[in-house]
Amino acid sequence: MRTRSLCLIVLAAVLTVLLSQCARTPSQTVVVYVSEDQVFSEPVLKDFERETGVAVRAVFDTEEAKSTGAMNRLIAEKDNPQADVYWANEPIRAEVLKQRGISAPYVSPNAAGIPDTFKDPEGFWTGFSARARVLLARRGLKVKPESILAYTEPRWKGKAVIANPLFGTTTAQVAALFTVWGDERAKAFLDQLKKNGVKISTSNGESADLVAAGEFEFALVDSDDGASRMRQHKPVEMFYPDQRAGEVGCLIVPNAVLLIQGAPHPANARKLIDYLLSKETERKLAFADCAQIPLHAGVDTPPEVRRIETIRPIEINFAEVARKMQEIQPYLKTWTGL
Amino acid sequence: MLLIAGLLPLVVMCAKSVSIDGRVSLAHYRDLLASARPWVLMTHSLVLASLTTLCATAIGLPLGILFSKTDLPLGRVFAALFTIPLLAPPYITAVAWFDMLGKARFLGRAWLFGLPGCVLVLTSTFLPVVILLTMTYLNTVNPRLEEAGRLVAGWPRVLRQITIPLVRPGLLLAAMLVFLLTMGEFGVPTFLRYDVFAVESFTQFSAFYNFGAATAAAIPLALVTLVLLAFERRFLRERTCQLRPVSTAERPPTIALGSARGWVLVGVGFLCLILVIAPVSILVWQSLSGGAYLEAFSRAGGSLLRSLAYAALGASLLALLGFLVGYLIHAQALPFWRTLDSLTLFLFALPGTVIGIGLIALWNRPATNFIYATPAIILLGFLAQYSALTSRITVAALGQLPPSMEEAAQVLGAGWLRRTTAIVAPLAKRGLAAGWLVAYIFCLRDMGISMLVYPPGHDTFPVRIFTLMANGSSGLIAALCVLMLAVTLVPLGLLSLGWRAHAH
Amino acid sequence: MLIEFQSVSKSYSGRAAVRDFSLSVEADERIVILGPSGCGKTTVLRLLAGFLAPDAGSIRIDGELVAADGRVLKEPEQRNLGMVFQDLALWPHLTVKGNLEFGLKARGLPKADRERQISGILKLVEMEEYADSRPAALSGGQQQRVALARALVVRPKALLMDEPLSNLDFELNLRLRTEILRLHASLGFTLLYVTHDREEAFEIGTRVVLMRSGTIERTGSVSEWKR
Repeated sequence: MRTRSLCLIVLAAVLTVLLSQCARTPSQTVVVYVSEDQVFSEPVLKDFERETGVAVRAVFDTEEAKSTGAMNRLIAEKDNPQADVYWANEPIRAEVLKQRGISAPYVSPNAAGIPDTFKDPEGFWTGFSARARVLLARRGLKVKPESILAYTEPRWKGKAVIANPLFGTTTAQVAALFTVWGDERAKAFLDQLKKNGVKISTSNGESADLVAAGEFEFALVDSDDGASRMRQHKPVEMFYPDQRAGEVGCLIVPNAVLLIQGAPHPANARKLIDYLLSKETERKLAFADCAQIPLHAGVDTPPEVRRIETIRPIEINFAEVARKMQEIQPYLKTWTGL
Repeated sequence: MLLIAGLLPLVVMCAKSVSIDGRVSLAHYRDLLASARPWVLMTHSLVLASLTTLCATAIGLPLGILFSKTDLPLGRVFAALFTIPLLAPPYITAVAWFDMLGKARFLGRAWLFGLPGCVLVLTSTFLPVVILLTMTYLNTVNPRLEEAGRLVAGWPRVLRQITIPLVRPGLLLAAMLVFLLTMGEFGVPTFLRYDVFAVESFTQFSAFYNFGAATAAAIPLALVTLVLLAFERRFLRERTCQLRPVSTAERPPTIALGSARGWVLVGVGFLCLILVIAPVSILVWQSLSGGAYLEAFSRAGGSLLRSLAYAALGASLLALLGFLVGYLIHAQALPFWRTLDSLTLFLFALPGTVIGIGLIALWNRPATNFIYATPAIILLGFLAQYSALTSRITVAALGQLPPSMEEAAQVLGAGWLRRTTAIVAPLAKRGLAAGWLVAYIFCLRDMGISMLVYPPGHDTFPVRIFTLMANGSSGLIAALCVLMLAVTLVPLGLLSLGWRAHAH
Repeated sequence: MLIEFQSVSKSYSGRAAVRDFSLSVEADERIVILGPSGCGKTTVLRLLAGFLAPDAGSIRIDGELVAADGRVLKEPEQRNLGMVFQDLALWPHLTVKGNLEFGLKARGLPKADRERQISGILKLVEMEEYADSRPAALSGGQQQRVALARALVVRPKALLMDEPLSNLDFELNLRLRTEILRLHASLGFTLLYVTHDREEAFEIGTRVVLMRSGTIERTGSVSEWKR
């Protein structure tokens, strides 16, 4: 008898929780899949909810090397899309989705102020709030790493770490190098990396933590990983690499937002996209721990966030980089030892 | 009957997940087998899995015996403590060890990376599987058999030659599960820089978005199951059915540890300290950084409650399905059911991601949106992946029932449904409860399936821990983990206390 | 003729347990199958109950074919037999009343009728005050009586008993033999009783069938045997 009443209590509790979930279906909804870190993106989405009254149902992503997530869901759900909007943390993914016919074109009025290099010409994705790929180094180094070529210098043999180039922004970086330097030089660079004993970590976040913990001298990471470690007062400093004339430049990776083909709530989707592309959102993301760089001109930023005009970027076309990336993937697979 | 309805998702989904790569046919397999590297990775995986299984069984079996058959004080408390590493995502345990060794420099840290570290972390994670299953199966041993042995020999001999051989099915099951779980694990080996085969399938998903290749890469993992099953068949040739006396009020004989008790307690305590308390303390210590718990509560949102609800419901459904499947395997009604048993293990071995993609392919249609867009899809995923657990445990529980119990009901005119619900199920209560518990733990910690199919806005707690890990402060992540452990253990503790009071 | 076995054979794992077994049982008879262990007597009982299918031959109950051609044609729950097992198989999680009520519930009897029949049979076996006890709390002899009551409360066509008294002490054994005969006298049922004990066989049965190695060696009424 005791067990039966216990079971009934548990069952009742379970059903209450479940029903409370189902009950929450408000009239206005938008479904967004988000690859930008939840700690940074969720507050923005919550603000949208509050300001417009449209309920946001989100699917967040993990660091790529830890598990599969949003991208795979989008691709698998292609025939019956559940998502309205995809907030990608870099444009390569947006390009992949464009190639697979999963995104739909939409040119937001707020996209007007964003430079053309950071938008798809046909309107299939629009960039905003960018990160720079920076060198995060342990504080107190006598010689500072100022170029990604530092990875190949003997003085740093075995003392550098890089995130797995098969995933995320590191893939974009490598693909960008292949586009700018050409296959031969890029492959030579990667081989040198290997010879110089570079360690491969699972993600940019892990690289940043390893440098902060003193395990390695420097790592190539995203500026938001670097900025958040600095905000946590870890003993690290950030350098924007290859800024001198003749050097390759610093890769700027914007967030990219796109409309899903066949979105269930297209009107709300456009609203959300407009909101994300607004100057206000870029301001929030600049002041947040991720310290992301606004792409609109004239956006308020805190002093430690460098303005986009002051950084020498790598001159690339994202569509080309995306194509290159898919081309070199088998090579990268062998390079990482898979 | 009901079985077909319950199994339909399993079977159809299996077909779907194969057809994804079937379309692109053998090209993926060719690529997979072409280079030497996958073979190296497979060797690594097999080595890691074998070592982990060996360690987990070698440590877990004596602990299971100690906790359920001896007068060791705090037996149940220890059992609960050792379960903790299974609840936290193994990746977190690895990071905790990394941080702990970082603080205690004198122990060195380099050895953590590579095979030794992986074996350590994964053994501590999967040890509870062995302990729990050992304890469950020990309960099915007829005390008469042990008593008969005790008349002529001491406990060590009785344990070695009577008790342990009688729980062999349970041990083999535990070993198989640990082996398969280790084979499928890639988070920890990747962090500790030991390359394993599971990475291949994962990479195909995560970097290449190539479902066909990913599924093809997952199949070898599942094929390992077939090899293991063949092993098992060899070791378990006869079905040992032993008669248990009618009165279940009888407790099996307990072993008095006598003078050794103090030493054993210290030993177990020490082991617990290293494998459990140390990593957990690091987590607790990290979580104490200002405001982490506040942030954890606000960030956790409803996901914690949702996880508990899904897990409880999932465990109940699994217990039901497992009972049905287990009953049929036990009754050996048709040779078909043997194949079914293999199928459930096959599904257990498949990475959750593969099952998830299969689920999406099958259920993501406008017509079935009422299932796909709700938590029901997660439950279907649980049914697919974890039925092996509950069905096997049911078979064990039913095996200890004298057939005459059911036959008596049959002669009295009771049809299948009545005698199963009124007689068989209540008599197998203990085993069914154990099955529920194991299913609950696995549903709660599930990541692979939940990650892919949860309805937007209704994520589960382990998923949230991982999404927040991206640039979430380590204090926050630690607080979330501690929260998860606390919330899981407290109700379990209450349940077991209630159970004990009921039994007396 | 109530029960008829015609040339029934059954083997397991290559060994023939029952060979060419033929037997007719009339209503109200008390048939005892006597034989050493391994002679196949329990198998005969289980074939009749429907737990096993005969490899060859047929079995009829009340004229109806219940098993033939290697198949069970009527399931055990439909044969309306009563059985007392060697280990009694009393359900430990139900009270004595619960054990007895089970079969009546299965037959869809309304509550009032169930109560009546249960109190009737409990009175007959003198176990009325134990109605709410659990089997674990009863002595061996008491459990026996409950097992008997459970089998009889549903008014079966025939009662099958598989060495029910072999685990009891001498005195209890004698007492229960008397019980069984008394019940048979008041309720009137056909009895198929299996034992290895000669004395038991001749006290309980009206007809004794001697089995050895799966076949009938000798059969006859008690008086015929004694001659």
